[in-house]
Amino acid sequence: MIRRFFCYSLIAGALAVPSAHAQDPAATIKTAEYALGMIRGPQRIDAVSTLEYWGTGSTYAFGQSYRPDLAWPAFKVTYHASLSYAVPAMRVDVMRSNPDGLVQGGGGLPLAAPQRQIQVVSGRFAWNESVPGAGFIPGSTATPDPAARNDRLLQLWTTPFGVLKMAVQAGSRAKVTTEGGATVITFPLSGTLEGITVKATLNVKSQVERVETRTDNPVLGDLVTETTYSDYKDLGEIASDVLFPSHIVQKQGGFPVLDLTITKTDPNNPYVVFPVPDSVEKTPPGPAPLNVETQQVSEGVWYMTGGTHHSVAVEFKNYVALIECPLNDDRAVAVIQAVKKTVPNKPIRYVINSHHHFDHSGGLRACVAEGATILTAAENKPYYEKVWAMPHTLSPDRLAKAPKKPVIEGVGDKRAITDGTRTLELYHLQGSNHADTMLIAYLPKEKVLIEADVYNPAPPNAAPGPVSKESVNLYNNINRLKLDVQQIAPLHGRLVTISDLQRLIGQN
Amino acid sequence: MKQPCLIFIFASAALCLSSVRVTAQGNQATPRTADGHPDLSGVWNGNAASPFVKSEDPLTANLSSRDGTLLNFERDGTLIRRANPNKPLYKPEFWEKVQKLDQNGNTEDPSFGCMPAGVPRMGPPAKIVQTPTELIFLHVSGGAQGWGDTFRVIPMDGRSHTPLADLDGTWKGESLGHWEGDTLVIDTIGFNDTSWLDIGGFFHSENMHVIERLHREGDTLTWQATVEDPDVLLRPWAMSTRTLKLNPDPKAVLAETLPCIERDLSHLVTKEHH
Amino acid sequence: MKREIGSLLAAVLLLIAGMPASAHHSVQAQFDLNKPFTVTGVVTKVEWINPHSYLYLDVKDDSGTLKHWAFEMAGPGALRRAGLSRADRGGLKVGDTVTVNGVRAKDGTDSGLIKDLTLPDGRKFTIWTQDPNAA
Repeated sequence: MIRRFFCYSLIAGALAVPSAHAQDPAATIKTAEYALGMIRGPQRIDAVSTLEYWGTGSTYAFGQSYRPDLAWPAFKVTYHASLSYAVPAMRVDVMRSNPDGLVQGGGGLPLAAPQRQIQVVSGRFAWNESVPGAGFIPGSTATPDPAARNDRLLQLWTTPFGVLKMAVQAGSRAKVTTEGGATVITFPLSGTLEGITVKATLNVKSQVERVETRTDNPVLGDLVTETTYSDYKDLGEIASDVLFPSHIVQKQGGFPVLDLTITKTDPNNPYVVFPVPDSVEKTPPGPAPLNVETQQVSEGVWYMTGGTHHSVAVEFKNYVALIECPLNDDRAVAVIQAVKKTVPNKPIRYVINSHHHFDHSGGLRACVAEGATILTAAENKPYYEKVWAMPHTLSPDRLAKAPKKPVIEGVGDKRAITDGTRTLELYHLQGSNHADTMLIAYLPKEKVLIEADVYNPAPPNAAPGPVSKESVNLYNNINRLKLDVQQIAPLHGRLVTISDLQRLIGQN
Repeated sequence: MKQPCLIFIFASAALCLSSVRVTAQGNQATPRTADGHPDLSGVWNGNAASPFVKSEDPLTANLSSRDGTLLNFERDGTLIRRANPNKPLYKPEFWEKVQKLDQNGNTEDPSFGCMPAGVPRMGPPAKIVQTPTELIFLHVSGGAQGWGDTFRVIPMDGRSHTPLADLDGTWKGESLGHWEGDTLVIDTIGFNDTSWLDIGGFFHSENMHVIERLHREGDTLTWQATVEDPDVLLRPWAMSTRTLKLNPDPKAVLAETLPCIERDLSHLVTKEHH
Repeated sequence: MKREIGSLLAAVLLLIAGMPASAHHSVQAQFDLNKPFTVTGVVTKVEWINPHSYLYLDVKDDSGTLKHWAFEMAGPGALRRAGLSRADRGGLKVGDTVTVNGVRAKDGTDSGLIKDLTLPDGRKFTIWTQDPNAA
């Protein structure tokens, strides 16, 4: 009995509340943990294990601005997150709806109806749910999303409690400095997030005020994600003395990606669980294997699919023009290799970029490294020149490893590539609310139209969705430009004919 | 550098704590009955009680709390208890129900209203009497717990369960015991759906099936229960093992539990509870 | 995950897991710990029950009106440990005048949680020595 008392004193002595002025990392981190109400009991242990919070505000579609100089476009959201630091796991359940006013930009805008998205990470697995716990509820779907796992884990570990727990885990690798009068804790993450450094700034109350991480992005290179937490309160219905910020703002690439006012929390270690559905467990972790399928559309014209974003290769007498170098280095390189296999001994002289959205422009740097001239809307030229000069030190891509000056030619309303036997015409798409920089491509002899994002045909047996204004706008542009189109090669979906588009928009 | 010092302190503290629990372990052999099975008979409340220290200021000193305040004691204890990761895994359609029952425990938890704990929540007994044909478990409640004195009779004669449809659901169910080597296994069915598995809103169905395992080594008894309830759980729940010590006093008695009468509910202003 | 405090947390959880978790409301869901007060009254009833024993006093307030107060306190086991055994109890009988130091109920009713109790012969007993929910 006396021994137990002795033990408690021993522990209490070792863990006495440290001075706030100490620059010793362990002491600083402990002070920050105390400030949020994490350290509890005579044992002075970190007692925060699970958490739930609700908020309203906006999420923004990163990389999907209407014009390259604009902020990411907003969705209105109601937001609900539940998480467990012990598993580790997080479930983010969001209802998105259109913002007020004129809706412009990509990322799914405008939504036909309010859309629910539930994104989960649990241990080694990541998946998306139609309802919470889908995969265990008949009639619901749980879709594996292994590529998203690290991003979602990072989201968990950049919450205020997550940051401090990881700082403790970093041990002697955590450093404390002062910047602008504020205490800053810098430390590396470990495990699957090894390589990412976290920088946490504390406010005057030693609460986590700002968290910065850097991750690699195909377009922007070393991308800073900055999350700001403010106005900490005990917002639980049942008081627990655990504090959570009432306002969260996250920025990426300098513009907001999340802006939430927290309306309710349950920081009293609520019952939240994250069982992994069988279908998800059976899917191997890591990104899906790269696959390029090549299908001839017409003589010298190939439709390159096999992933989420397609490309089209057009063979000229002495060179190839490739329409779209999407996503990232890996996809772009796979497409380039497929082109070389299909059309050997002809260089890719031109790469046409449909528009600046990151999913469509993410592979352009690999195409620059290949030596191609990039054809893109005129207003993209200064933007690409600026962002492609940014450092790629975290995960150097082909261009970073062997730098080359990009050759970019801006396209106005029209541009034609011809070698006398074949012509490829590029037109600026007018009236689109998806992107101001949208180019469509047209092969007059073959009567093939190539477009991105504005007309994504559903699979043949699927029920057609609501008619999108963008598809109607595409048709109007085809008529305005008097293009005689027979086939359409969309960069999402499948090869269709002009009558498919007409049928869709009720013109038939 | 402070780091190695901290690790040393933590390590010695952990060792210190763990050693406290096994202080009284002698080298006693496990007694056996005439039929060769371990004899579980005895009074099993020999775990070291918390130290009693007189205090000048009640409500603050002597509470095992972070800064000696009652508020810290209650809120810290609750938060730490709830951090225990071993919780039953319910089907998603019941997640919100568990949360609601948990948050409203003051009104929803049957224990709060002086209802019995039932099996498995009542846990291991304070006293066991083992005969060749049955085991008799005697349970008492500690102070400020509402479960009262109760008993369980576990037949060991090899009979089979009554068909479930013929059993009226009760708090303790119908238990049958048998030996698997030196481990006593108790199989119970026939429950009501009013009891909870544990604090935390952990309700169950009438089709619950509980398997308990008791094992004696010298003067230590371990008790572990597994709950199967496919109606509400995604998988069986293995409860944490409890370890009991034999009370070395041959004249040890069981303290009578005060009767439970609930008087506080109408006066509660918040939903806080332990 | 928590490398350094892992073993400590495990030891603590072991201590917690060793005890059955009986439900109990928080004392401060019912009483305001920041509102201490003193009352002298006549014992009308003592109930030795779980989860809390009760002491009922008739108290004359400032205007002379008789009020019926109900106080929560620990059970006889805790009182014995505080030094107040049945043999010694003496004044804790119906009709005796006792002085109670306690904290008030949050809902405004005439009730409270006893911190200490002074018997007619002047002996003072601290009721809560540890967990206020101890017997």
